[in-house]
Amino acid sequence: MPNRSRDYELELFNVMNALADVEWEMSESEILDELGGDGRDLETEAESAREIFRRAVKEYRQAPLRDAQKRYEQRVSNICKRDFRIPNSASERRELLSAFMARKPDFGASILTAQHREFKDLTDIDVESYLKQLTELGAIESSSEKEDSEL
Amino acid sequence: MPQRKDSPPRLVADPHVATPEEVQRAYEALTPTELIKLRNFADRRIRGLGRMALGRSGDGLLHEAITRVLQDKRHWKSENVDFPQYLKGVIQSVSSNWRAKFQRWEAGLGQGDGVTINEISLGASGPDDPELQLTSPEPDQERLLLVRDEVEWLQQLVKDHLYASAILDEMLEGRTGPETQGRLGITQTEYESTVKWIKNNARRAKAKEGDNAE
Repeated sequence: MPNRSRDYELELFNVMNALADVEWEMSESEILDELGGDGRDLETEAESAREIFRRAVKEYRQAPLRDAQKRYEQRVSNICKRDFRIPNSASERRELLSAFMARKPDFGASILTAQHREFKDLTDIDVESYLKQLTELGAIESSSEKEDSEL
Repeated sequence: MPQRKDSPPRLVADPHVATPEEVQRAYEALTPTELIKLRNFADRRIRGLGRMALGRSGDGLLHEAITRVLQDKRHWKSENVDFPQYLKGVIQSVSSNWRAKFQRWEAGLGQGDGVTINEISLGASGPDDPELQLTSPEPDQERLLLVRDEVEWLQQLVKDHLYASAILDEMLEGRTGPETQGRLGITQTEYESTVKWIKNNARRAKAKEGDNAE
């Protein structure tokens, strides 16, 4: 049974911290000896550590991009949850989007994300999502609005 | 005024606090030895945390420390302290905060309830806190036995070495190098060489046991 009066976790924490402090004061030759003893190489180990720095800096710099991506996904998700009156069949929806792209190629291209520059590569779900976004933007009329305006 | 983490340039520049660009230049200037020291330091801190690290690695701790510096949550005043020393302090501070946070969280749960930890946020509070999915922690008794074994194994290892045994006792109590030197009446060199002896002996003994962990 562990001795209840002792906090072994704290003791181990203290020992590791003391070792960390002493290791911090090690000279370059001591570090080289230690690495050599383990069959490791200074440059390789240092490069691997430097990679952690590179990754952290890259992630930091891309943080605004990730935030923008999150906002975009949230916006699309909200749009997709709304009840748009778009054609029921996938082929009709594709036809509608295709017609819109043909009519307004610049506008259409501007909303397609980089991975969907080729219209033919869009899945049925992508087509539905883009139609909903275009409807939300007012670029195309939903079926009901169209029907209303025709009355 | 706290700065948003996603806006690297400071709106109001403090001439004494390094900018992210200066931080980047400082990390690029780190020597191989400094890089290895920082990584080793982070590794040790994580090993000291044990289960309170919640599966994080030394590399993860180093990454977190760098991120906090870049996010301006820690101000580096290059005139006062060199970058490696400063980053060492951040690593120390972050790991101590993780420990304190874990303990507060565990105290809130009630230790030994046998509950399953599903996830716990480890970083500073905020929406970007890294979260870890955890398996159920080891049963309290088993966990304590493992840690106790580790501590007693170290004590056993140095029992025939007067200095090492006395220094280890001081280390277990959490005394710093200078405090230990003062209490035992030994020099800094004697202290450091003995601690290195403990460390190297432990490494060799573990290697003999075929265990990678010291």
